Amino acid sequence: MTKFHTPMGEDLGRDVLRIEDLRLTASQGARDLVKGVSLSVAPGRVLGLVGESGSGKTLTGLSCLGMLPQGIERTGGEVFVAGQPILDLAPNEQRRLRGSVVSMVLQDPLSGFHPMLTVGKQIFHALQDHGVGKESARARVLEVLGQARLPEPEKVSNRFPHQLSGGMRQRAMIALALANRPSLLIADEPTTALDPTVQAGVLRLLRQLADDGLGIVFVTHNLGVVAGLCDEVSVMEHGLIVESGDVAPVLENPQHPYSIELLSASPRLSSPHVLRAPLNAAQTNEPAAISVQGASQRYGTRGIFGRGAVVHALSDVSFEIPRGSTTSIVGESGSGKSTLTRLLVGLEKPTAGRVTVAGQDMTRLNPASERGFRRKVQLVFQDASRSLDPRNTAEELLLEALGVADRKASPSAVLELCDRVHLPRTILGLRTTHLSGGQRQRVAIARALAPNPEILVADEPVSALDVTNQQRIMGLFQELVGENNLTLIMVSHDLALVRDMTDTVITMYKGRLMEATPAEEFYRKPRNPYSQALLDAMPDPTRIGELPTATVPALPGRVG
Amino acid sequence: MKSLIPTTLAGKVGVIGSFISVVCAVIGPWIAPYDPEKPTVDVLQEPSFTHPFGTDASGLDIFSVVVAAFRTDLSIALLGVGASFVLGLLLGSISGFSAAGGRIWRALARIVDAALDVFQSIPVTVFALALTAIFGRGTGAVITAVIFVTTPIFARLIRSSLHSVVQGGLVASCRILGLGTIRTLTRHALPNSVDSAVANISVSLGVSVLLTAALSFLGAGVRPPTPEWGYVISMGANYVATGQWWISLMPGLVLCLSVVSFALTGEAVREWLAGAGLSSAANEEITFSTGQTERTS
Repeated sequence: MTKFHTPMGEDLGRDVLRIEDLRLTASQGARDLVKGVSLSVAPGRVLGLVGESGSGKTLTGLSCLGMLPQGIERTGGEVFVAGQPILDLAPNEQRRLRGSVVSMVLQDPLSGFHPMLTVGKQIFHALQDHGVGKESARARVLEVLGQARLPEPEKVSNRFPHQLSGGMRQRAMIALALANRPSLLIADEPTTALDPTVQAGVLRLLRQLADDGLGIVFVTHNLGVVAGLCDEVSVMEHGLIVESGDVAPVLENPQHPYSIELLSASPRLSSPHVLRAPLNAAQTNEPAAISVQGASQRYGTRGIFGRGAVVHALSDVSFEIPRGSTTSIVGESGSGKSTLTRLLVGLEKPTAGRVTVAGQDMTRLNPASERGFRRKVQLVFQDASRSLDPRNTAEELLLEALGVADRKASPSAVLELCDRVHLPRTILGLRTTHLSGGQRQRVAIARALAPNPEILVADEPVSALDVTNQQRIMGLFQELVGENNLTLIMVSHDLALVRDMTDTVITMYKGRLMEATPAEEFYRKPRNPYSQALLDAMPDPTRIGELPTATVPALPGRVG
Repeated sequence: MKSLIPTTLAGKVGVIGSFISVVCAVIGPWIAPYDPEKPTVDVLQEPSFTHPFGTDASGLDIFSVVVAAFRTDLSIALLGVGASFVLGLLLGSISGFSAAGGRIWRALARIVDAALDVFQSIPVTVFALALTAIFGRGTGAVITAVIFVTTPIFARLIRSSLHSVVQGGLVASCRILGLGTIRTLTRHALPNSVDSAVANISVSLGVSVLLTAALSFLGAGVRPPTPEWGYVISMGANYVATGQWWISLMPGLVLCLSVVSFALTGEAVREWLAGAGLSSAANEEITFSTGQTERTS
């Protein structure tokens, strides 16, 4: 463990946060979760607390607010917030500090807001709780919403949390956190659930707040974000800080093996990697694996009086994907990429246009033709914990998948399948709820591979995983494509993640296709300004001190 | 596998109470000291060693009647709730799984939904009195009434859990794999949806015991002299004013205790199912929810 905290004395009054040898234990089973963490944050500095799930980073963050969850006990150490040992204070003393001295922003702002009160009301209440008068509280609400760079603070103040977009909601959460002028902000993965371009905006806001003197602890697993935003970084593994220091030396020259592993697993756009050469589709006379011509998808909501609103989830999308290639469909939420995925695998039929997948006209898919189609086209779902039956063991799930194509599937075929996705055979008897996230996703991939499909569609297959697992699963996909002439469609919001394995990149925005470009060309210079914005917004661990930009060019949106 | 013994005191009390009820239902007639249908010579006796719960105006030993009534009330409850559970499973599946089925399935689901609404809007006592008026007093009418009351609840529980399972991606993944609709429903969707309905079985048993007694009290239940709590309570009600409190109170207490036991058992079952190893704790990160009230930033 690297000694990090400043010596007692000169810096005592200066640091807004100082944690000294904090030890936390789960009282049930006496598991040590945090094993002696020390760190400090000075005003105006941003500390990145990096680690994977289970590293204890969230617990460390919570202890800064004096909010240890039930069943967690402190076995040693101190947490000083603005010089006060917050964990030793009485509950009402802690409450007084919370908000006015230390504040928190969470990953999901919706769970932090009361759903039945307007944003303005909640900030107002937070101010009143700390004894601010009615008139000045009212003024402060608008002031702080403006400070969070929310356009038209008055309007936002009268909105309910669910009426705001994800990015605006997170800004409103930051405004709520800032209401009582804290000097320390604990931000627990505040941008993980946001789209890249929205994330970039929130990161810039946090940087500006820090430059105005706020101390920030930024809990994250994304080293790219740390590189852009933070001044210092502490890497946590199994409840210990394994490496810490200024961002530049740690990220440029990590010393601890875990930091090195974490860094090498982080996707990046700037690495000098050989990109795959564009496939020459003209040479092969084969018909395309997937052909989409003018596909549109509208969702109508039936109003009480006649027709209600119509949502154009997809408008006039056309592209072709040659056999044996890997294509990435990239876009942010609302881009229509999920709708497109559902069309490609036949879960929905387009309202207009033609979609042909593996020779099957999708508008003519009927129960009889569906049987054959299912063997040729498979889908890997985003979240395996939701798409796999929690009551079945891995073996049962794989056997079932094999059984669809071949009723007499043998246990040896299960083992073979298991090896193909590098799943340890020992876990076959376990239920999926007892598997790790990465293992669970491997079971899902194995299931999709069971009927030996020609086309595999993967819908954000790694977005629920830690960075190191993300990389391993992406590696597996690469391997599978190489093995047999598999056509792979990778749906993602992360351009860095798919960079090294894709032949073609398709970008989508508001239901429209922005461009479909060979990867080599795309990553060098995309044709479309939105694609460029998306590339610019990707955090990258090698761009230290460089915050991603967030300017989304004005583009024609959806029609209707 | 998780231990079957409930963790909470309420759960333990409930399970013990329910167990005693079932034991009484099985061996009740043998442990009853007197014949529950034949009067003794002691009329309107206070509770004593010879008659623990006293006797009524015709000389029936209340304790014997109460013990023997376990069998009447519980067999009505078991038959009624059992039938309701099966019926509810069927109707709930039709209604809750319609999104994954074809056109005919969806049409059927709309009929089921409408039927459930209609059934639940008819007051049960009125319905049971009408049944008695048509078919006369008897166990059959009471069981029908129990089925009538509890089926829509089971159907709705199944339906709503199925809905969320269908939304969750499990059903879509089965379809992508090429599994048939019925197999998807019976092998994957239903097993993940029955928990709340299973927990509701015990609660429904209590409800139906209460209903059986209520109908007897109103004179629309089982035919006397079949030993039944509600009937004894209604007979005893006439004597409360003149000081013979035990005739109504004793069966009332037993009725109350057994209904509460079933309700508590239901709660214990719910807790057991929720923690029955399906949500893993071993391998996953401990996730914490920080209280809403604590987060006044």
